[in-house]
Amino acid sequence: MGWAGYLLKRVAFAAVSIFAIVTFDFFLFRLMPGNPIQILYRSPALSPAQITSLKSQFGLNLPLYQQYLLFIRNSFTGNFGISINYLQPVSQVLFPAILNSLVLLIPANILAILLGVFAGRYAAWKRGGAADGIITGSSMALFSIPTFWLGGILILVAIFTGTLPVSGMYTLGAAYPSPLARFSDLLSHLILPLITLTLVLFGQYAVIMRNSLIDVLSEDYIIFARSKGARDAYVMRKHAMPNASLPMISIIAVNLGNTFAGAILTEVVFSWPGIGYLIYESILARDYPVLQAAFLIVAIAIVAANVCADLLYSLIDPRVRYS
Amino acid sequence: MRGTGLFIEFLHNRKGAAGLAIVAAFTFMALFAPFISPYNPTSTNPQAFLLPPSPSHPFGTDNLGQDLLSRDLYGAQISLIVGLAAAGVAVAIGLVTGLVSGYFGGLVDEVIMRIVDFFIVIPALVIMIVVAALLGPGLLNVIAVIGFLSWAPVARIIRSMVLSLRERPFVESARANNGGSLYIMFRHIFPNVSSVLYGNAMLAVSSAIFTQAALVFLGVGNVTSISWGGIIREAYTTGALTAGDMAWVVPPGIFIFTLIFGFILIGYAVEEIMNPRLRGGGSG
Amino acid sequence: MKNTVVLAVLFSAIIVASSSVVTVATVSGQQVAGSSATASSNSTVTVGWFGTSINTLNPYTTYSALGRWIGSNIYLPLVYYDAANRTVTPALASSWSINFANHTALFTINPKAVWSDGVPVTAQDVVYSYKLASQNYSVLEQYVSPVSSMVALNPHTVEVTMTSVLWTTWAAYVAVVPYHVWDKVNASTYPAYNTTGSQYFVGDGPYVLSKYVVNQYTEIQKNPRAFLAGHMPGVSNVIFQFFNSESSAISSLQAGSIQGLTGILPSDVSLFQNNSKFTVTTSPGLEYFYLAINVNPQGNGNPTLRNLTVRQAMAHAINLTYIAKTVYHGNAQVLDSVLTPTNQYYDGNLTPAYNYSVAYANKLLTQAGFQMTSSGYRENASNTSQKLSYTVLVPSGDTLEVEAANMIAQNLSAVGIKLTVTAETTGTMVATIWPHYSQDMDLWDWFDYTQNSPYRLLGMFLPNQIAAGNSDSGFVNSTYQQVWNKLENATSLSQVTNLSDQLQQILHQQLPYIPLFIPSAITVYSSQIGNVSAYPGGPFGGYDYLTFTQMHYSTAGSKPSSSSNTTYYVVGGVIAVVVFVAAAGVLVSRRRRNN
Repeated sequence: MGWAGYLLKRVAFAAVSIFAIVTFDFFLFRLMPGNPIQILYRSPALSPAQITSLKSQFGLNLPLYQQYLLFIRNSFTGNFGISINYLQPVSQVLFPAILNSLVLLIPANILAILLGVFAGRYAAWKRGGAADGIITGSSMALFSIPTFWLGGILILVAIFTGTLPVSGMYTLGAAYPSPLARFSDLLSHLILPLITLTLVLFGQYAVIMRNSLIDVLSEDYIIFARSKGARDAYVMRKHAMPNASLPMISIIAVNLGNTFAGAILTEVVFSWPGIGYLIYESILARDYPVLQAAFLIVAIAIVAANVCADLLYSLIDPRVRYS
Repeated sequence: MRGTGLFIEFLHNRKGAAGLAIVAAFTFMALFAPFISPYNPTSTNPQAFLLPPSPSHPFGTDNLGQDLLSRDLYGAQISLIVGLAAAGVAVAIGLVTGLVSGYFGGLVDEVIMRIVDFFIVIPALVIMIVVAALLGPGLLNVIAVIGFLSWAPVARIIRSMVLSLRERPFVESARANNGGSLYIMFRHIFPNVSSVLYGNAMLAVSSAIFTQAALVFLGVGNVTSISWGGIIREAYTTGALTAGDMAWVVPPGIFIFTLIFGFILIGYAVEEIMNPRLRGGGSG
Repeated sequence: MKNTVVLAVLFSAIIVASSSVVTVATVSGQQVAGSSATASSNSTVTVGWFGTSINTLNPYTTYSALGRWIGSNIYLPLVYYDAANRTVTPALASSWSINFANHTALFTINPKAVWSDGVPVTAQDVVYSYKLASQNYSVLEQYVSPVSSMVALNPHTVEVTMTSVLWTTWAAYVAVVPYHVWDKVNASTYPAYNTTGSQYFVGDGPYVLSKYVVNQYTEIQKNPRAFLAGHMPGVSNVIFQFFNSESSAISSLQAGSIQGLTGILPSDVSLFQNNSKFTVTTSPGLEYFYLAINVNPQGNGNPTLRNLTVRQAMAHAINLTYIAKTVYHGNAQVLDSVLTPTNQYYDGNLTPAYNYSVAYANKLLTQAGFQMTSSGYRENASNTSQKLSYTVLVPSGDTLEVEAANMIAQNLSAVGIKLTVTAETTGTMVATIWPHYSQDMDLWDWFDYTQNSPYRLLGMFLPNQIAAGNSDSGFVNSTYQQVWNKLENATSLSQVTNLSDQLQQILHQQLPYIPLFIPSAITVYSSQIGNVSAYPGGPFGGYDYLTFTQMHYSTAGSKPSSSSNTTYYVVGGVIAVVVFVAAAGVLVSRRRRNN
């Protein structure tokens, strides 16, 4: 099978997975006890007629399979319906939240990956030394810290020192003289959640990098290269790192789901108006249209990241294609 | 005995010994909480709200006048029960599906692996919030939610090991001797994957402890019983966090962190013993 | 292997590029939308809000207290009801005359009344708004149901025919919206805001909407055409910021990024008490807690709860004074009715009093035939399947409610009743209770925000509220229904009072609810704010329509703190970027050399 065939197969699989995830989620959400109308409009003297009218307004009175078909059909046209909780188009609720999340997630991931790769590499290089002990120990420790607690401790510190804002993305009502001032305000709000998320993600990347490097370092060809008298630093850069980076790529992709979960806790603690927080609120309110659309997009993002990682992998290492 | 030798080797591993000591200490705490707690963790006292740490209340008291040290000690119970039981469920499911998938291969493998892929990519915490709402807040339900949604990584690892073991001579010969599939799986293959299984089981325990605390923190699951995640949640929701009540917020977090760390250490120690290349003191 | 390096560099370059694009896009996007914030003068007050945020500002579909509150600053009702003084004052209507005997009312609209776009307010707007309020989707339908007809006699007068004499309920709570704007939209889904800020939303109150960012904040600014004397804007801009917890709101209050917050927990009061920068006030609360008992004849809960003696024993066994003192640190009042003490129709003389007495509760249970067993809990001696073992549902989102439920369980355990506390999300609670009544009890709360009416909360015990998903006790009582029917056809306000008292008395004796307590609304605000009212529910609790028209705010030195740190963060950010780029550069160049 050629590369094009492999690509086609992967993309087809990805489409099927997305479809499966979205279908599973659709029915799972509707299995949750309680319906959005009852929850949102809990009010004395709401008549049964009013409840029926509200339900039909959101299409909740239709048979389940019809709601499902409608959702699938509308998803193709990008029409995600009206949010029951916010009473406005889902896209207007969802897309700003996604943007806000990316502002937090992308830098946190880059920082964690960079730090993790460097720390893991250093630890693998100094294997058995004090540096290895410190790095491995602290990465495992960071991996064990409860995200929501770490965020809380940072909030405590920030309040006591009175330095950094602890919630939201911007200072409200602030008059910004320039976009730069606005950016710096964003930056100051970003610092605490960013530190939290980066530290939590960093640990796992460092440990994985170290272990996969050590695995590679004991491969025959590395030992052979060293026995030829190549400089250690050269072997590391030229032979070990590229090979050890391979598992990292797929792990980063697979981990996107986890990253996302870590983001929910961080967003809730810091009131960051991102998609994790939105999903959490929407679950409580049983806001089906928002949940469906959010999960569709999350599923696409995660599956696409996995496909990209696979393709990257297969470009670098052709053996993968045929296994 | 091979097992005893491994255990001694494990004890000689610094990480393993430290991890075991941590877990043993918390197990002691959980088992003997009723005897070592200075107070009944649920007895309220309107004369002793939000006391700072003192000799009679080393961690102070909470907003109901309950002794926080006693609550922190009792908190170990839920974490350990949920951690171990949920990991047990996850590892059991992961083991069976991994063995079946790797051993039979073909269509069975393909189907199981697609399911595994599915469970690996969905954001587990979110699905857990949804499923927990569906099942209700009982302890068993929380265990089920965590267990049934975190077996996929175990299955994937077991499967990849079985794939290579299947082609080994001892399995081939067993098959040639008309050994039943179940028999071969558990008599010949299982012993060879068990070492990796133990290491992963410990990681599963640590992630179950984390997940339980996170769910309780988000107000999902069993918020009425005393747990570390719950104590942190109460500190957040009653304003102790912003009041800077360190003695309320810090200890349960440290406990969760230490217990998770303990299980991770054990897991890595097991992995190191099985895969000596990872060991720190190896040839450089 | 060169491929790997190239790909890795490419990959990270893509990530860096996309992240910076996203950041810049966010910043610049928010910049445009935030232009109104920049234009605002310096008397901006930011108020914190936690709990349910708003779904919409459409007064006919919003279910949230915040949505109603913001709406009450934007759209005027016909009259105002001042709950603090129990008086009716002019709003959109400058005068009115009520004919109790004929069940008619005449309202004259203030001739100066004008919408914020300059169009005068007419009787047509009023008639149209009441028509919207009576639609199926409307949450105000319950208020307007006594209005059987409303006609515009001329552009300034409306005549109302009503079935009930209690006219202030609808006149004070139904918002009037501009016909010329709303007639062009679908009123059932019209959100009355949008997030782009490009549309101008027309109102006639002291304020108009200037900005709404979903899940973050809403801003109102003074209506330049506000006309109602005595209700002119006190501050020029008000921002309502949403928080997901009391904690995060408190820390913003401490940091000075919000200036006022109602709903402070008793345990947090000490943070502000001896600080000259803050003022702490306590107002009567509007949110009360109750224990609803499943007494539904068709319900699937424990049948022993339909035994009145068991319910009486429980009422005697719960030490409400102690629980209020412990959970709310004394900032809560024990409650005996389903209306709050500040409600105009609250009956403070209900009999008998359920005094806390373990001995009496034990005696009642034993007399009713429930004997103590070796397990420590009681069961029916003649029918051992009848065990006094119950579960109580409580919303997991409210820690204090969960704690109160735990303490009630301890109280009941002392008289041989086993109570298991099950904390659930409200969605699950709703699904457990309706339609099958599978619960035993639930501990929940109501807001008594219609302080001039007994209808809303007393009406909840009617059988028609069972299917509607409001009556969590499932109470069915024919006497109650008869008295209610009389109440609906009352011919004088004193009759309304009398009949409401009777209804409260029936509930007190039948105990479908054990009312628990009503916490005070604790407010903390910046000492720069002056003239804050003592309306029930607190000035920032979502019920006081006067808060921002009365308020003074001295703005000296009240610039948001973070803008002063601008250079600090810009320098930090620039350094971080430089370090990052340099590191990447060094890495790449070293790789090249080696290749």
